Amino acid sequence: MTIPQPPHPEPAPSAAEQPAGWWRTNRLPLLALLVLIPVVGIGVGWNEWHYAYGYGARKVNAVVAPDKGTLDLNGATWGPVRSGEIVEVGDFDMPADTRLLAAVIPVEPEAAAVACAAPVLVQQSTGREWTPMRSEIGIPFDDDEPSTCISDLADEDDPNSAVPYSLVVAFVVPEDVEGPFWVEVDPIGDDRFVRFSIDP
Amino acid sequence: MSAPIAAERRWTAKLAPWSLTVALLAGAWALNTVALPDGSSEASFATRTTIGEPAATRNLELTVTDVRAARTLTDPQGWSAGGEKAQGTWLVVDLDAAATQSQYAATLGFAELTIGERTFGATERGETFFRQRLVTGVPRSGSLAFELPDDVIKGTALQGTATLRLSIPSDVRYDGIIEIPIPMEELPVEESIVLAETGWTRG
Repeated sequence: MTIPQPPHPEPAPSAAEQPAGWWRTNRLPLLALLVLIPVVGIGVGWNEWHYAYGYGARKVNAVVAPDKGTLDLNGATWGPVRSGEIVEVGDFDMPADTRLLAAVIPVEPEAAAVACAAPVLVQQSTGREWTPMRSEIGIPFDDDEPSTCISDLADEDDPNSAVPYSLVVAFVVPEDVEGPFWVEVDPIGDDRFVRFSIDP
Repeated sequence: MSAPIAAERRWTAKLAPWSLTVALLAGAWALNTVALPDGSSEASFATRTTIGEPAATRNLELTVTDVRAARTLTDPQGWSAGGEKAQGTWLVVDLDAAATQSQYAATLGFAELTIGERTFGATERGETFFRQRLVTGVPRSGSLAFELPDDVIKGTALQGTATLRLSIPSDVRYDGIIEIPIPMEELPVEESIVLAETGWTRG
């Protein structure tokens, strides 16, 4: 009876034969994740943004008019804006410690009438906003001083004969609110809007 | 040697499900205790103030200047419906209010009065401050009126505790509101009240 020979140790596997690591095995799915996660993030984000701000329903992109100049946007020429503080407010029902700022914005449609919401006054340093006041300060409605875009035609049978006119608006702002301001007009059906810089 | 080990196993095997049951019940009870009421996830953010004290939330700042009660209400125009007077029990709230940031869509669109479990909306009749435009940084004044059932009146005074809640959007979920407790017992019911005219705040 002899002692049986113990088995020989197996030779160490060479580097090429070693089982591949987890990262290496899954490199294709990992690569896919690397691409898909940002794509999903951007896709969902864009979809939500478009739902809220798309379709031209809200004003998103400001187009600043040159100083004392005009701007062509959405089928009309806007400006040049005239603005100033109305000092003679004796006849108006003005609240205490406020200023009355007025702006006149000429609108010249290229052919058909354009639609727009009433202009907004924005303090450039803070973003605080004011909308036009009229009846609140005792100024009755006046056909010649529209606060939103109008669609008067030179020739009733030709829709492409819109006449030029001016938007006339006044804002009541607290006395301690200082300029410069933006006057913003938002033509309907476009995410761009017209911005004039004023400092009355 | 094997018999005591088997007995011990049986004993722990019985204990485990019972202790797990107790732990789960305790956990459920604790969760139920700390959970907020239904609808809390969309609750308003309330800023509390009192009569005469200014308060601000989001785009609204206001001060309730007076609270009155009366049997008959008249608005500054003598009521819109042919000068008739409104009979009932009315709570009238006078206030100054302004927008802080933007005038866009800024009206006093939410005004509710809660007495006990019941909630009343501000009247839309007559000329009141309800849904009136607010101006950025420039306060306007006016009155809100709430028509109340007769059971909140006792003798010559109102009773119960009331909370007034005001805001700009008509839907105040997830939004800021201003809450003002109204001391009803201290309110004598007058025979007749004329609503404050809606306009700029004076002095």
